[in-house]
Amino acid sequence: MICGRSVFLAGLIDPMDIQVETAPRAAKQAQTRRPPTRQHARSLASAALDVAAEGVIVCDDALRVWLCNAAAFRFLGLEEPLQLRARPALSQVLAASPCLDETGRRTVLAHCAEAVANGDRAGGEIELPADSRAGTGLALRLRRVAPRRWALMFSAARATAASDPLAHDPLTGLANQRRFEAALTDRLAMAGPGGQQDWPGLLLIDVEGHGSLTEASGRAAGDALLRLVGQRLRAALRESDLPARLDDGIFAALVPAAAGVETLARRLVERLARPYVVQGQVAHVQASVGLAVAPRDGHEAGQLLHSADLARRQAKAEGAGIYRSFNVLMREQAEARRSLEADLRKALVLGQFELFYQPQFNVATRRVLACEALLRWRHPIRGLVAPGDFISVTEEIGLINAIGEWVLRTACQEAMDWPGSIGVAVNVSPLQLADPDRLLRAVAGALAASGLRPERLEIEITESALFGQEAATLDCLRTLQARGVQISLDDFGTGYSSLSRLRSFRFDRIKIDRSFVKDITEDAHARGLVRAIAALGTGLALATVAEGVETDEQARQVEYEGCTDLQGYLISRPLPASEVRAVLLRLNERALLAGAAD
Amino acid sequence: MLTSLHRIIYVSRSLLRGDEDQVAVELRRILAVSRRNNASEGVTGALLLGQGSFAQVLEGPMVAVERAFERIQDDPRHADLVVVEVGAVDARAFPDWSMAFAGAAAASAAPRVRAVLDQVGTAPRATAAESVLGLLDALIRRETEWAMAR
Repeated sequence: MICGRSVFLAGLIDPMDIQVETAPRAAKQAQTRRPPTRQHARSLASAALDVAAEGVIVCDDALRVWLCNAAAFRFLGLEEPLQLRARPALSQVLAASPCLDETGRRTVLAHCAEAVANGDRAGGEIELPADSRAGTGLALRLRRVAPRRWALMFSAARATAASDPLAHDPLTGLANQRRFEAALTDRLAMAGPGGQQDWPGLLLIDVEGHGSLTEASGRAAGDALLRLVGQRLRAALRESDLPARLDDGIFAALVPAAAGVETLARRLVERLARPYVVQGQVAHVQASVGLAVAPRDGHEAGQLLHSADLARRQAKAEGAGIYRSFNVLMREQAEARRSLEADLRKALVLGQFELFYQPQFNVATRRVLACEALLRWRHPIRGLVAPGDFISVTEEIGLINAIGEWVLRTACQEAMDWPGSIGVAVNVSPLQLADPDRLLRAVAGALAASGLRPERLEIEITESALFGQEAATLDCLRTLQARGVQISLDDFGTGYSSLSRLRSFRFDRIKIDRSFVKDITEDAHARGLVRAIAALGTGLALATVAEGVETDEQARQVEYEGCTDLQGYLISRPLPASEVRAVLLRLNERALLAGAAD
Repeated sequence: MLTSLHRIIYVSRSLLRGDEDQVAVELRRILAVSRRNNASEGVTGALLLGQGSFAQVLEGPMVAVERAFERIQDDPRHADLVVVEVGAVDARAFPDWSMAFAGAAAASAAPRVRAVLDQVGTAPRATAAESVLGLLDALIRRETEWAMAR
C-alpha cells in the first residue's frame, strides 16, 4: 500500500502528467509518452488509485485541484468529471458537491488553508458529522505528499452509528431500514408503563414523482431529487427525530414522543410538495404520509411499521399529497382484501364462476334478439357475488384475462343451446383490450370451440377502454368486426362520451346507460338525452339499446324516443344458464302471439 | 455544467405577519442570512416583497443556485411557490448584488407589481420570466437612485 502510493505520487508531481482529468486518462497518456517501465508502474498506480475506496484529491499550495480519483467523486456526489485541466480551486470543487453543506465546506477549506499556511507535513484529520448535512459523514485527512503538493483523503467517518455503512442509506445519508427498525425496537423497549420514555410515533412517507424525472433525465437526476427530499425531510424534523430511507421512494421518521406527530405530518406533506430544482430543471414530487402511534397502533416494531404502512397506502389511495393516521378499520379492510384475493385466485379452478343472461328485446321485431352475459361468483361462504364487488380486484391482481377468456368460451358454448339465432353479448375489460393479440386469440378460440357463428357474438366495451392505446385498440375492434363479430359501446353517456369516438369506429350498437332510462318518465332532461342518443343512432345507422327498463311506462317512452332495443327487468331478470332456453322460447312465443293479435 | 451560470426566478406568497415594523425586522433577518450565504457561494440576485408576495432572482453556479433555492424552500415564512424560470444564462442580471432588495420602490409601484404577479399565473413562462426580471431590475434601480439621492 505504502509502496503503491509512493510510486503513484512520484509520478503525480511530474509536470508531464498534469494534463489529466482523471486517473485513467493519466494512465493512457502515460502509455503513449513514457518508456515501458515507468509507464507500467504509473498506469498500475493510476488504476489502483481509481479503484481505491478512499477518495483522493491532490492540490497545490494555492488549493488548486490537480487530481481527483473516482472515489473522491463518489464521496462528493459529483456526477461528471470536472475539467481538471483548468485546475479549479478546491473551493469550487467542494461547492459543486451536493453532499456538503456550507458548514462542511467551510470546515474543510479552513482546515486545508491552515495546514498549507503552517506547512505541516501531516495536515491532520477532521471529521464532518452526518447531521450537518455533510452527506454520510466524512472523515478527511490532509497530508503533504511532496513539496507544495497536498493530498486530501476522504473516507466515511468512523466510530459513529451514522457512519456505519450497514446502517445508512448511501444515497441520502439517512438511516437505512435496518438501523431504523433497530432504533424503533429500542425506543419501544424503553417506553411503556415500566419504561422511562414516552411512546414513539412513526411516519412513513411515500414519495412519487422521482421516477418520471429519472425516465426523462436519467438516474443521476432522479437520485439528486431523492437526496433533496432526504434533506427536506431532515430539515423538517427536530434533532431528536430519526429520518430514514427504507426503500426507493419510501422515507420514514421516528418521532420519540407521539404528541404533535400530526402537525409534523401536515408540515412534511407541504414541504416535500414544494417545487425542486434539480440539475437546471424544475421537478415535483407528491408525498403520501401514513402515521402510526404506539402503543395504540402496535406495541412492537413490526406491527407498528405495518400499521403505518397501511395508513400510507390509504393516503396514497385517497389521492397522494395527504396524510392519514392508522385506524383499526384499515387493518380489517386489508385483511378482507387479502382473503378476497386469495379466494378469487382459487375461484376459476374451483368452478365458482357462472354466467347469467339477460335478454334484450327488439322493438321492431317484438322478439328477443340477444342476451347479455353477466358474470357471477358463487362462493360457498360469500354467496352469490356481483361483479361490482370483485371485478376491479381481478383486474388489479392480473386475473382478468384468464376470467375474461373463460367468460368468452362459456358464453359462446351456452349460446349454442339457444333457439334460433339469438346472439350473446360479452363484456370485455379495458385490460383485455390492452392486450389485443390475446383478446383476438380468445375470441377466435371461443368461436371455434363452440361452433357459434361470429355474427351471434357481440363484444361490449366501455368508453374508458378506448383510452390509451387507441390505435391498437381500434385495430383490434376492426379485426373483430371484419370477422363478423358485433361491437357495442356500453354505458354510453356516463363517461367521456365523445362523438369523435363514434366517428373513429363504426360501432354496431350503443347502449344507453340505465341512469337516463330510470328518470325518463319524470325528467325532461333525461328524456331529451335519450332522444338525442337515439337520434344519433338513427343518423349513424346503428342500434340503440335502452338499459334498465323496469316499467311499461319507461318501455313506452324509450320506444317513443326511438330506441331500437330494450333491456331490463320488464323483459326479464338475468337468468341462470339452465333457465335461458325456456324463457327465450316463452318470450318469443308470446311476442309472436301478441304480434298475431295486433 | 455544475459550475456554469444558472438563474432561478420564483414567486411565492409571503407568510410574514405583523405590522410594518415587524415585517421589516423579519425582512432584514432574511436578507442578512441570504447575503451571507450568497456571498460565499458566488450567488447574486434580487428580492422583492410587494402585494403580499415575494419575487426573487437567484444567479450563480448551478449547484450553488440550486442549493440556495433549497435553503429557501425550507423556509416556513412563505408558501405556494412557483418557479417562473430555471436554466443556464449567459450573464448575470444583478452582478453587483449578493441580494438586492426592492421594498419601498415596490410599494410605490403597486399596480405594476400586481400586474406582473398576475402574469405569472397566466402568461407563457418566458414572458412571465421576462416581466419579473424587468420589474425587479427597474425597482432595484429606483431603490438605488433613492438611496443615493438621500
